[in-house]
Amino acid sequence: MRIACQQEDLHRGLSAVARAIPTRTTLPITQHVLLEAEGDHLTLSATDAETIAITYRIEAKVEEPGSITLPSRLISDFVATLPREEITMRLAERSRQVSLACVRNTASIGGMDPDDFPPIPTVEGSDAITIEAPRLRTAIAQTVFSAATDDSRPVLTGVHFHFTAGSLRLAAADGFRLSVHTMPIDAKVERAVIVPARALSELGRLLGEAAEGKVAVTFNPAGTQVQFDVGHARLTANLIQGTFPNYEQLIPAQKATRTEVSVAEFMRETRIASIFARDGSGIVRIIATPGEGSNPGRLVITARAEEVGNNEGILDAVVEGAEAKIAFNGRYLMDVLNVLDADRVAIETTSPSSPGVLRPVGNDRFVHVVMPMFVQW
Amino acid sequence: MTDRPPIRILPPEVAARIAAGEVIERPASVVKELVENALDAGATRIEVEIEGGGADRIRVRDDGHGIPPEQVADAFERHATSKLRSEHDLYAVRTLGFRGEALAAIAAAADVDLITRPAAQTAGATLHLRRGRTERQGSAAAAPGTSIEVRELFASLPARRRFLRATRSETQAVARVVADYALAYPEVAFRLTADGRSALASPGSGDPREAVAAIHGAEVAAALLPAHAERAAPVEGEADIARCEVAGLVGPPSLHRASRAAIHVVANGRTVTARALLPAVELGYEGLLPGGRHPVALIRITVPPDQVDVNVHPQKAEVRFRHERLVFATVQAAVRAALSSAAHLAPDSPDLTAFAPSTDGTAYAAAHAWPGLDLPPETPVAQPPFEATSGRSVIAGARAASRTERDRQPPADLGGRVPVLRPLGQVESTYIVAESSDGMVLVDQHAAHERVLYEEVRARIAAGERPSQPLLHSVLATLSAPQAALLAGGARDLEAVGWQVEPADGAAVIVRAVPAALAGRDVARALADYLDRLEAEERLSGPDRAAATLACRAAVMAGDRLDAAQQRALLDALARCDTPHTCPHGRPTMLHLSRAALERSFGRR
Repeated sequence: MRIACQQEDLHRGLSAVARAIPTRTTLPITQHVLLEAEGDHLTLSATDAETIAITYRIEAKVEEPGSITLPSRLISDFVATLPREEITMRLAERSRQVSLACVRNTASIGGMDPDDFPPIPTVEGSDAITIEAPRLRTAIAQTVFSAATDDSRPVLTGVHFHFTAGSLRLAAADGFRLSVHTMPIDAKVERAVIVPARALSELGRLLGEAAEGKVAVTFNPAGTQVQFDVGHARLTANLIQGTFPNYEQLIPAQKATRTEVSVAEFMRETRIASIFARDGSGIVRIIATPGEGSNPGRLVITARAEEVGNNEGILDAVVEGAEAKIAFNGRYLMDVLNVLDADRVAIETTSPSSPGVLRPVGNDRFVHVVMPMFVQW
Repeated sequence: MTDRPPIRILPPEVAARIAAGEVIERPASVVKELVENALDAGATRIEVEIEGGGADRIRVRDDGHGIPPEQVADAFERHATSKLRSEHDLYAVRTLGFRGEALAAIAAAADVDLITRPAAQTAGATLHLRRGRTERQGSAAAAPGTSIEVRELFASLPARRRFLRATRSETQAVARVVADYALAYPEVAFRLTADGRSALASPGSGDPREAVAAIHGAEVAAALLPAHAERAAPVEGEADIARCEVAGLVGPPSLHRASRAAIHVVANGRTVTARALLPAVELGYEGLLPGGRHPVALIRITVPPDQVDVNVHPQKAEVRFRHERLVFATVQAAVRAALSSAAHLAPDSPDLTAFAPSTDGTAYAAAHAWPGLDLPPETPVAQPPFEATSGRSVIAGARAASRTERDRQPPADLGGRVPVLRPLGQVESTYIVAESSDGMVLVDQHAAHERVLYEEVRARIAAGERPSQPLLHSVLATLSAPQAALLAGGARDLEAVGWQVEPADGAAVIVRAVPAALAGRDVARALADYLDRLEAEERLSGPDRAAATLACRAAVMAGDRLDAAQQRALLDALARCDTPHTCPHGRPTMLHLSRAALERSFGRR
């Protein structure tokens, strides 16, 4: 293998694929990145050998094709420090040593046999579904945090993708909260799959770099793998098999009180309250009072920590319906407020013990359902 | 069977030897008898010298009131005593000796030299006995007081002499006797010299803490907490009232030993082994000491003389209290009061409200009082109440106070306050290394977090709160038979910590809510893990058991990486605990390496 490529391209590619590398592993080669030179490009690949694989293709002058694996951390750190110039790489086949040169820097890095590298799946199946990258990015951000982190119920560690004619609905739930995002798409497909939350977190980052543009989503015929192509990057993930719970029934149909507040202010007050609720329970109490005559409605947020102190914040609010009292886990509130793509949020409640619903004001793409906490009022 | 010897009355000498064998078992018993005589003689200074573990030579010298010359010879007769006159006196003994056996028994077992001089006399009387018989009697110049020298113990009883143990263990036994009396009589100066080397010297200042310092070292003595309790109860069918007063010094839970040797019990000035009372002392420490470890304590019990029977043991090592349960309760109360006043222990639940969130500076200070790591001061530093009007200023006030406190006080005087611990990092993802105002501290992150959560959960239960996170959709969990039994048995306590579980078919249950601290975990597994842990939690019971289990399940585990902010938050929370030194199971949360210890280890001093 003998190639030349631009430092910028190689650096970007190595950072992108490094996200697939597991933090803890028993398989040392998964700490490596696979380099394959062919035609006019160099393909970088990394995988955790379980759930996801990321490949990234960069332009390269290939004088002699070939492949090798190199320790990801070492080569990434080295390339990151090099100037934005051309890098040449030459592999000594027998010793599996790669000599890198860039301007005045040279390095030699030992690799491993590329045949030992876990296979990187390529999905070739149904026609690709095309989605706008920023939209998918928002949809992922608004749902992935609600997925369960404990893997004893595997279906809940993923995000449910439901394609219907002209729309895609993403849903995630962990037993305490539920996030549902619906967006229009061009494709007319009927399909429901569960994508691992970890794969989507990484995809979200790749989408963030892609900015505008499109994502092509492809499934393999067996329905076990999904592939997202975005720009130079390709992320492949094993789908989670199983039936996602029917979540529609968890979204309350009625409400007794609807409280509308500024997302930024609500976020700030919740954050302050959470400081005071920072013991094990994290209870943040909310009291919504409707306006009366010339008095505007308001939302009072309180929290207290045993033996430390307490806090009270007051927000202007548009409150429709009866006065409402409800308590939430402050972390759950912040998680959802963080990802709202609107200036104002509507909080819908029926009783202190029934689920609360948060919706962005001005669009109906997102709905979040969160269980309140049991507290003494 | 015709050879069977007839029954005979033993000759007096043989009877005397048998009795001597009961009273005098080993050199330590000789020392005990002589020291008791010296104390009964009003001595203020007692010097004990031994050689060869006491088997070769014992000398006890005091500055007491001595024996008048004309009574010297009688002193060694059996049942000769100046301390009892009638049988009635026996039931209200106020002196240590009373049986009139000690000197006779010693004389029967060894060679004895006596020199004694009452202060009023100009010359001292001397007496030399060999195997119980007077060999010489005379007079000599002597300091006021009595000096008795015992040589060749058990020379006439070779069987007993053979049973003596190594010199070292006999010396230790003597040292234990002298130590016990030094603790029981802090106003008397004791000195023990073994084979020419000084083994112990108490100042005789009257301060029990100084006596402890002479025996267990100054660091231990400084750490001890004063304990006191007084109880009285009418006795059914009796006119007089059962009374008991307990005073003493008890160690903080951070101070513990592998044996009970450091628990000293003194009843009416008499050192006793008091096996029955040791549990009372240890019950006071329940849940604070690691398993198999024992506290350091000096317990002084005072009851009216007629409410204790000292005549139950030849060596008077055991006493019998007429109202043992009262004594037991008083001892336990004294220990608990000492520990809780030093904020080592949460007081009984009714008082928990004192620790509820409030702007009352004294409650805050009480909740935050900390005895320091291993060198707390003798008296707690008074903390001015914060003049706080809001929660925030309480915090600011506390921070400022602890800062100035720290700056002002030398490290050995941590002032019973929370030493501010600055996290430096983690070892093995299990222990937090922190710098304190005196050296360094290693904190077991799991044990520390358990303690923090345990106190939070208990405080919430006491406040009537139930931090519970209901589920969006209830979860069906299948339990094993033991798990189901635990659930059924402790339903009320489980509900108190936030579980809401309903029985379904067979071994299945429906979970509707989980404790807030477990929110976010897989529900069915969290319940099963919780119940398994609950089963293992045998030291506690009731809501405490449920709370400790929750704390254990919710706490960070050994092996969890904590970032700097998390480490800091954990140490701050630990410092706010009532009992920061141990986890709910009694394991220590921290190890302290003081500056002095570091300097010693590195040879800096």
